[in-house]
Amino acid sequence: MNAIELSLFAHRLNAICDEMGAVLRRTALSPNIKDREDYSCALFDAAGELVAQAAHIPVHLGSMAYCMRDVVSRLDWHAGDVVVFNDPFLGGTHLPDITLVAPLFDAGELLGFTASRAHHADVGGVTPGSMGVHEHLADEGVVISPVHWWRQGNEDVSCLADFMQRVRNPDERLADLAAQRAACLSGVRRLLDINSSMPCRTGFAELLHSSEAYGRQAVASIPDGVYRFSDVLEDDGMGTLDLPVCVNIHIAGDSALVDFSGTAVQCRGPVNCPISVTAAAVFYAFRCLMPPHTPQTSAIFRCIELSAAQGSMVNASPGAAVAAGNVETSQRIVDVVLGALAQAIPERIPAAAQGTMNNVIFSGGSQACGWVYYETLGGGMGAHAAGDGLSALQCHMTNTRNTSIEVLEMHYPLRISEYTVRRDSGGKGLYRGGDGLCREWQAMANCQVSLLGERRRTAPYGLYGGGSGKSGRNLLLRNGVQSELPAKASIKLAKGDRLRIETPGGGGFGKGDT
Amino acid sequence: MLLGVDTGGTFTDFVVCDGDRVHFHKELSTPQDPSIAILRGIDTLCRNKHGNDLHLVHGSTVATNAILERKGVKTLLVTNHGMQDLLRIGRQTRRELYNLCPPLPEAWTRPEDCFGLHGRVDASGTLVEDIQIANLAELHHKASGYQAVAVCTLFSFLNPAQEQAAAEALKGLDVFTSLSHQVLAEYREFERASTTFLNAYVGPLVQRYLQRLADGLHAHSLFVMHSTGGVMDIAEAGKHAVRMVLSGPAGGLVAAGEVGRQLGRDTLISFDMGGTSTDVALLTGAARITVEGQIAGMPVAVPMLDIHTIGAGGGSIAWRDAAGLLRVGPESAGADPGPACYGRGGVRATVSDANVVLGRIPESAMLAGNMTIHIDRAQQALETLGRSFALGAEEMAAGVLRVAEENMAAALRVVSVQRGFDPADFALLCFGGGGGLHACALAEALGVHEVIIPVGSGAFSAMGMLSGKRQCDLSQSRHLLPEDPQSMAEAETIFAELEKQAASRMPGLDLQFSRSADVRYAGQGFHLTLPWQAEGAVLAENFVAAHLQAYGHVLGRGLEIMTLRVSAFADTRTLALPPLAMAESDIQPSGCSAVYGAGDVPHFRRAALLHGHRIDGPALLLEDTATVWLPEHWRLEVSLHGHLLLHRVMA
Repeated sequence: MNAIELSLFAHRLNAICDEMGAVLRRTALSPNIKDREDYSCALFDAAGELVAQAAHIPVHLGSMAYCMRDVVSRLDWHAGDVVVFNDPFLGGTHLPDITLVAPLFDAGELLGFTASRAHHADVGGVTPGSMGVHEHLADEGVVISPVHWWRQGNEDVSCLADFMQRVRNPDERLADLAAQRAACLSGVRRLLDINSSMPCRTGFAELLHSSEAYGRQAVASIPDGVYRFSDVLEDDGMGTLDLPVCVNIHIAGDSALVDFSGTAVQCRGPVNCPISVTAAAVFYAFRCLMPPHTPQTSAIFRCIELSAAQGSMVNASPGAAVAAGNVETSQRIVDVVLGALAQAIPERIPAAAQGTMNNVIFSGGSQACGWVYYETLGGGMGAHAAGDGLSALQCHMTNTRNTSIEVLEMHYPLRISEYTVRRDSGGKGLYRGGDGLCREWQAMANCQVSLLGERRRTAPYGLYGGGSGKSGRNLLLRNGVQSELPAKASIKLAKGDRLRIETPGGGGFGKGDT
Repeated sequence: MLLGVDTGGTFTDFVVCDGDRVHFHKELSTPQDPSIAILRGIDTLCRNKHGNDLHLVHGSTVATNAILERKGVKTLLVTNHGMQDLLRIGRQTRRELYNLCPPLPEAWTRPEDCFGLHGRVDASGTLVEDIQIANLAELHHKASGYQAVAVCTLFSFLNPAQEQAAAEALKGLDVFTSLSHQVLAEYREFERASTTFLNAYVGPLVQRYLQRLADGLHAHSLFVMHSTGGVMDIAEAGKHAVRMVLSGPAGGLVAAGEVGRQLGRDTLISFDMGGTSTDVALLTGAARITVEGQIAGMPVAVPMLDIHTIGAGGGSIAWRDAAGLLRVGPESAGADPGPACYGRGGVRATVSDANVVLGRIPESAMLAGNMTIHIDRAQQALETLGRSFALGAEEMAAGVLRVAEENMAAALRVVSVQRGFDPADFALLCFGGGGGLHACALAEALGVHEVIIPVGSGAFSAMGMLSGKRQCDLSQSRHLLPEDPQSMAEAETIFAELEKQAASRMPGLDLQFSRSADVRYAGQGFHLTLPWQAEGAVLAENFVAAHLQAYGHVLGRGLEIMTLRVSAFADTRTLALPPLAMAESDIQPSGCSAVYGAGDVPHFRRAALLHGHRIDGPALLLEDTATVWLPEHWRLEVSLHGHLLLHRVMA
């Protein structure tokens, strides 16, 4: 293929991913997919190398680029197969993210795969919403190791029978999974169309080969050297405090080694990361240094080598609890990688963003007629060499939308009494960090709330003399008395109680007070 | 006499229909006050026709431009206390996923321009916290420094007490007031607040502009097209300025629908390619309506035609990226300096330049604004780009067009699939300046069998102005259950109330009403809009059938009604296109020139085409401001009314 044909080929792959996303969003059922857009669609070559992806959530890009090789090499593939999995230690991230993969065969030859990943509202487990604080993966939800759901065009109904029995909304799960399958199959059809005029095998290989340059150029733009940074996760929700997250980044020419030596060993609580999530966070940070139009392939990350000890918090062993690795620890990994890179390229790296997703899960009702409501809250972005940080936004590894207050109050016994920008919470400096948010819920019935957050005792760092962003706060207002709640907590709310969350501000940049 | 006027960036287009004669007219636009160009055009057109009763329908960009250029009036946003940052927080998402250092977005409101109102309505519509007199007095004082006030409180669509109290407090002040329950009585506070805010932000400007225009027109009647393709009088337009954001483009879609009806085609993709962007829309029987529109990053939740804008046009710039791949857009040369071939200092190769280099825009064609074409500049731009790919200017130009057409085809496909359609089932209806050069290639890429280039495609929106009905769309969010007879009775009461409101907004007209409802599975975040059925069981049956058709599955759970909608409309005088004369002999070419890959190809003038004429590609068809490229294996035929029908013929 010449440069023009390869350009056309790359455009067609992107268009297929967009079209798969359109099919998924249109046919899916749950608000997580339709409204919050917590899904991604991707294409892989026969070896499981990512060749194109339409991702709304950064954590999906890196994790799929990293681990599909292992998944596809484990299984026998035939035309008409569809494989399903969510095992964080075999291609997944955390249990609610379920991935479907379908192979592409033409004239008996395996050419590649299409995949769709979506966050499901509940995948069983002890806690409704499958995002609770537990010690074992098995308590977080149903674990599905890569397995054939469809074999050569025939559904294996027994495959998901156990899963469907143990989840809280089986009809919704099935509809969403069917939508994911429809998306994968539409991708397969469109790739077959292309293969007749532009051979996919050659195209994939050439695209991977040429896209490697984006990553290498980004790394080459960083001066050679070793850059270190460390920070902590405040706690694992089970009493272990101040878990160090350390990184040494070795830049040599157009290659980077990202080494997590010194990082805490894996802990009891759910803040552990499978290596795929760690890779996703590292890749995100480097992806931000590449131009906006960079093709989403695994080759752009070939120049980055990861080193993380097996059994550490950033490369946890199978069976570890990981629900918050994806949503909290990933944010801290970004903080330390960017903190290290800031020493090398200060003009391109911002101070720390809020460093948490502030997960809030309300649940209540009876066993027979229960309800679960999940949201994440934005906060401040870090200031940078060119200006102030943005306020009250989802930062780094997530970008899901909020739920309308009116929709929330129409469906759940909750009332929002405040939703404002948290003034003066951004770090001071020549440029100010973005402000966090304040949100206050009043319980209109007895219910339970689980909080999974970070940066309640520590603060998002400033850079070059800029001040830290303010730490977040979780407050309970009961009978006129205000008390502070920890970063990770699960408590009962009585009717009339108020929960107030103030999210962290971003760090400031540079000396001076504006 | 019927007169349609569409104000565009460069030209103001006029279409006049007098008895069975239709003719077109253009004036240079006067952006500082668009009414000058309109009055000038009317003066020219009606010089000898004093006393003639003139019925003018206007597509105006005054509201749209004021929003895009942020030139609205100083506006105070009033929300519940504790929600003053509603517009600032929005949906809590960032625009660019991988930008670590994004610039601060320009805020629509400063913190000091937001006022918190005490009191609270809950989800059942009950006032659960009291409104405070002192707080209202404070509002009165605060608002005196503003030209407009937008009021949006939670659940005001169920109980407008707070908004009404605020309006009462503002009495006696010279401020334009928008209350969210009047602008859009629907749930979702951010979208409603944003819509209400924009309505207040541009309302005073639109009122002044339309009054100026009406004064200049003396006794003639003046109407404005709104975003669903209906027509409203200027009093309505002044109060509901936010309903005008698609005023111009809506005309194009109304006209597209008319052309479809004339030709008996009910599934069309309209395709309007401009300099920096391309507007596409699906027509399935009627034009499709969305309540998820956006302008300048702000949601506009009033109903509007579902027009999707693709960031690719004639001015899109071609470039080589870091890994050596060819890219086209999203950066555009815009109107200034414009493509290299404009000769205004643009040096980077654009889609238009590629068309010029390949001979698909011949030297004899005219560009918009009577500019001449600088072939040498286009050639230079493509040569420069071609060097980085080791390609000659012509091969390079062919590559640029292939990539640009690929981008557009992909966008068209996604737009169709997102709405549940296969583009191959549609005909491509192409109007505006640049579309005719790419229509056949796009049709091939999408598997579309027919391309239609309608009469008056150069002033298509203005033509649509003459086909819009007097229309008013009203809605009311209310949580109701189809299975509950009391709910269904309440729905009847709400519909009757909405119809009464519509009648008071369009007095003295013989109105027809169409009722519909947003229905969904209980607790789900999305709905289907269905024609109303007073019988709950029938409504439920229809929903299940529609859900199966649209999404391929059904669920065993209860249904809920979220919003009731009424469209009221009255027939008005509309345009009827006269038939063309029948051709008695073959059409003769007006010239010929070389086109890359096709040798010497003949030129034809559209003005010379008659019903029954037929042209086989390759050929170029020249209009005043547009060129149509008819490739090999394509045949052009002329319909009874002068629409061009292009089909692929087997070799």
